Amino acid sequence: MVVFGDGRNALAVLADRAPTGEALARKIDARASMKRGCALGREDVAAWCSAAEEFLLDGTLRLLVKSGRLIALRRGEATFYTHADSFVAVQPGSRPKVSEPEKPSGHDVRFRVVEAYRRLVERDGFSNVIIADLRREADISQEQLVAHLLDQSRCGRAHLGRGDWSLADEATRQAAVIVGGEPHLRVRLVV
Amino acid sequence: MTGLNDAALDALAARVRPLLGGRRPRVDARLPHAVLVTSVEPGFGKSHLIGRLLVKLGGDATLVYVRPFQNPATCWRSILLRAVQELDYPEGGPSGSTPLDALACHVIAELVARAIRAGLVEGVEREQAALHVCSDPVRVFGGQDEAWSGWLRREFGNLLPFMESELRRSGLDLKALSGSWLRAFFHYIYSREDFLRRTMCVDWMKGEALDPGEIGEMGIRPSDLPRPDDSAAELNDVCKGRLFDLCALAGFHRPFVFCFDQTELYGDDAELAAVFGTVVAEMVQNGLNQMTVVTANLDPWTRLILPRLQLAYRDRFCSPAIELEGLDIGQARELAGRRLEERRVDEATSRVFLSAEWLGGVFSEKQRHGARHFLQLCRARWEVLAGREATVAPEAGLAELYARCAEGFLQKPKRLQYEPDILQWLVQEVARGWRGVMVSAHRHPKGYFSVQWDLPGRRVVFGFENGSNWKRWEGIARDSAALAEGARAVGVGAKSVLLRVRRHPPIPGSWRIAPDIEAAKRSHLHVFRLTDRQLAHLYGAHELYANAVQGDISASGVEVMQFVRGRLESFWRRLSEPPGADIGGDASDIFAREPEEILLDEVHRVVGEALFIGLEHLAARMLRPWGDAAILDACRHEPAIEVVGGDGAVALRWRTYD
Repeated sequence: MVVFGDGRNALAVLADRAPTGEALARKIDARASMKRGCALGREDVAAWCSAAEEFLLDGTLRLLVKSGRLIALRRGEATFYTHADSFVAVQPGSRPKVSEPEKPSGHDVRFRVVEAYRRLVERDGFSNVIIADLRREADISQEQLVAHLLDQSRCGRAHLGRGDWSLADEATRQAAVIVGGEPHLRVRLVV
Repeated sequence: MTGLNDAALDALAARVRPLLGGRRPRVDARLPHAVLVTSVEPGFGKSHLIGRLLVKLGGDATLVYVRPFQNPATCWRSILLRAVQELDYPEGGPSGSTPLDALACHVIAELVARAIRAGLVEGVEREQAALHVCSDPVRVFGGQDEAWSGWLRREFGNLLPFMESELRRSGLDLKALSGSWLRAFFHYIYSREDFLRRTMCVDWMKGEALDPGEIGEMGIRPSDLPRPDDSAAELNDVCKGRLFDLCALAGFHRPFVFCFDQTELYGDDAELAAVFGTVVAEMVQNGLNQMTVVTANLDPWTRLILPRLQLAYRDRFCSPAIELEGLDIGQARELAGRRLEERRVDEATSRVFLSAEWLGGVFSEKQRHGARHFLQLCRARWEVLAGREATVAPEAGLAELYARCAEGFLQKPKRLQYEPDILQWLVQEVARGWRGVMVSAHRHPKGYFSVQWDLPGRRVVFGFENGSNWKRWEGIARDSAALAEGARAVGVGAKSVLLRVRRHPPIPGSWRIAPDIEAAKRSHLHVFRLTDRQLAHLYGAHELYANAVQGDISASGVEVMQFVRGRLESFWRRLSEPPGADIGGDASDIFAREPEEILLDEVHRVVGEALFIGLEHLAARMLRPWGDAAILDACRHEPAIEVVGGDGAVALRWRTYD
């Protein structure tokens, strides 16, 4: 027997039927993946769990956030979770194919991003531009842009800013770049 | 931190520089744009930057920090009030001279120098004397140079026509008459010992309606006085004129820097945001000798405020905006090192804490982090090193954050000025939803009242009157009676609440109509003079909310509203019950009741004189007997007094502030 919890809340389960953190993590990962783009509260995730699994829920959520499968979004004192794939769901490959542009080379990506960035700064008057606007203006895939920005961020040529998640629309959120488990909505390039 | 946002600071300083050059008076020093300072996320140090600007400018500018106004109809009154409060606050202790002393002395010194050069002053070597009076006007005319101060007191009347004419010839387009400004300045400088007269000068500058007889004694023209029965729009217009006059006159001394902070709060209300845009546009268009600085977090600015500004007003802001940067790894190390040093953490622990591995990890994916975010990471690391699990930096609860905000106000008496916009925000926004109260705007033609509460069987209207003009208060009492009468006719009890502070003179004072006002106060007129402690808790609530809306704390604005609404339960009850009603509550409930004003005045006086005094001795020095409990309660409402000791021996200490 495996006993979860203690006191009046204790729950005994046969050892061969007892859930494990790894199995629960796989289950939540799969379910959350189907709900990508949605912010899930703890109670939403708990609804997928058996009574025994619920004892493992908090630890498993922490594990999934730490491993990058789930993104924790804080709103006030509440925490919501969304699947990491939520942020790459809009890449051209996942959309219906309508005359998909040819994939630009690494050099082209850099050129396109810098030119698009300059136009946005000129247009809006702020050097911290919205990443979703940058992708649209540069006309490159989200995957390429994220890879480029992360690369530039590591060497200090791009500065990612979190912006304000609560005010962002869906398109802006979906173009976010995740660093340190947190979505970043804006970027300033050193050009 | 070394180098952090130095570029932004230099850019701000460069913008104000054109206002500092050239010969005084600077009659056409005008900046073409307001300056927008943004940060991509909260915690990049916008307010800190403004503080650094003030230090960098030294005594070269007067900084006026403007919190969001709440009432579009009185927006200019709010800004002017803040400007004059700032000017009238003593520098270097309560008995020090004020920036307004300096402005007044500089204006008068320049005009006196011209009179000397024109040969109107006999018995002096012209150029030498003119240079002398302009060398240090505050010392020469502010009272320290008795010869020149005494001379000006005697000769002011004779010099006035020449000075008026010179002021007009300067090319300043003042809305009030030159003579009125000169008289107000003169009486302000030389009424240091006459509190009422000095206050009257300040009230005139604030655009308050004053008694023509009283102000007439100072020679200020009746045409330069708003009438007590002027509409709210007319009064607001007078205040706009006074503000731009002050900006123009600042050309004789030093420019203003108006800093509009916490602008996220305009995002809640489309009308307020639009009016804010108009205010900035007018500041740019009409304000000489001033720089308008607007600080904002980028997303609230671009999504909530900018779209609500008229298109024509958007180009009143400089482009590009000044954008703040985060810390790089070196600055982060310096910041954390300082904090560890302040907390006297030993060197070995500090070295472990700031290991290259940890810092390198933090800055591997991003080369810059906001200062606040980095400190949160530090806190989390501290918890981990201390053996406690902390994957997310813990934050103090709302109750603790609220207490800190209130304490911040208590520690800085300068921040406990009358702020009608905060008080209006409380009764208009926070109280919404308290026990089913219906809140609506009350459009009073003269602006006596601006917010209305409707509760089951009761109606309360709120006014925010800064002035102490008997005629205006007579009107307030009369209209309050009419409102109560009208409500009674439909079976509803009603009262009017006028929220005031202890710095306001008591109403009705010794006016002829005092008995009528007193009768009104017993029936339907509630003049609520908030103690400093009460005020600090009300302002602290607003600060907590502003912190939430700006993203400075993790709680949302809605959560803070709910929290504050609950914490101010006894305040709402005081406001909603008939005047003088007992609402219960224990002694620790600062809003349930406050000590009698005469007792507050006495403890303030006695402890202020003694600096440190035992409770028994304090009681013995009071003019009438009060119980120990009542005295202690009064001391707790007075932030200048610190209660030390316990039940056995209690003493009171007068606080000294930086």
